[in-house]
Amino acid sequence: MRCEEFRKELEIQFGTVKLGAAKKEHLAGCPECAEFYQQLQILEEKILVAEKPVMTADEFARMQLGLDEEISRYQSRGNRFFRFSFRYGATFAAAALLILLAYFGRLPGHNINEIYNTGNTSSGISIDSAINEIFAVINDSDSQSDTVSVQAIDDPYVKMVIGNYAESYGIGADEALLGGLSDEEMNYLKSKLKAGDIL
Amino acid sequence: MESNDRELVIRAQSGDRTAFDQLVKFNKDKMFALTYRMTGDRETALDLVQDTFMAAFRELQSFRAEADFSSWLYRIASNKTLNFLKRRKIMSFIPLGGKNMPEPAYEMPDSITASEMNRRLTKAVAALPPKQKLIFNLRFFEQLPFGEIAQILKKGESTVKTNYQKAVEKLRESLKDLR
Repeated sequence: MRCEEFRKELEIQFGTVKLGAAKKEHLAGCPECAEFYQQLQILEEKILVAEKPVMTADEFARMQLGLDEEISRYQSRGNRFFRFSFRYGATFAAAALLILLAYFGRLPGHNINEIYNTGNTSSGISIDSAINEIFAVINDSDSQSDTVSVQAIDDPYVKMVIGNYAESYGIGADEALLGGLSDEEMNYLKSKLKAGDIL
Repeated sequence: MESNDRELVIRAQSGDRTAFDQLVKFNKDKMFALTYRMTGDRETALDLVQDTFMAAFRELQSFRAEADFSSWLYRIASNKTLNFLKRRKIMSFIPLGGKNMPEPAYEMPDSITASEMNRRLTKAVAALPPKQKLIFNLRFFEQLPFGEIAQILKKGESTVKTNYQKAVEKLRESLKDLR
């Protein structure tokens, strides 16, 4: 064993040195390492003389008091929170639900009342003509369907009409007109239909 | 973890406050010895012990009963103490009313104050870099195995050993004239 390695090993084991046969043999043949080992032992003894710090009874009482106060504060904060939540939670939840319904109950960027009042879709096509066009397209499997479907699908209100038709007449999502709708749009349309929100 | 500790932890987790108080009583001296040796100030050490137990109370539900409770406490106390030392170091660079915040005087129990040699020993340990000092305290004074210290500090065992060896080397150097 090299001296440097041996001394590092002794330092790592400082406080709990156990001399095995190899170490004893090295110490016996190396006076420098023996001197080093002796110094470490002296250092260890000196450090061990130092008293272990102990909390006095008075200090413990003070610490315990402080801890009790902190725990009480923590628990009352928690209790206050739960009492408050319990009392007002249902009201908050109902209010939040109403806000969510009011918000998501409308088409994004689309005012349904406006459409009913004006009789036009949001892109300016009249509701009647849009519906007629769609019916015509769906009933007619000619190439003209592609032309109209592009126009129709661009308009959110018309999308709803398509969805309504699809729901009523059982046209699947693989039909030409509905093929341009994403799953998300299709689900949206279906949810609107179930809510009876259109036509 | 001792079976007594384990039982107390389970009871404390189910809301038994007296069980928690017992855990405090059983572990207070270990935590105080560590925080006092690390900071050199009894009042600061008391505050850190109180903070440690408060954090343990708050996080008690997240403690897994099969782990060692005192190791968990050592981890909390170590983090709190290292953070404190870091803050104190930062504060010592900020002038307060024209004066820098003084380092604590490392007050000693009466029986030791008389001994110049012991004063120097304590100062030498106190002068170690915080992480080395923490590892030295946990290993030498608290006699924790390297593996447990590695878990407490979330470091590799070899890193812990190297830090301990460096700490011993520094102590040996600064106290080489002590015979």
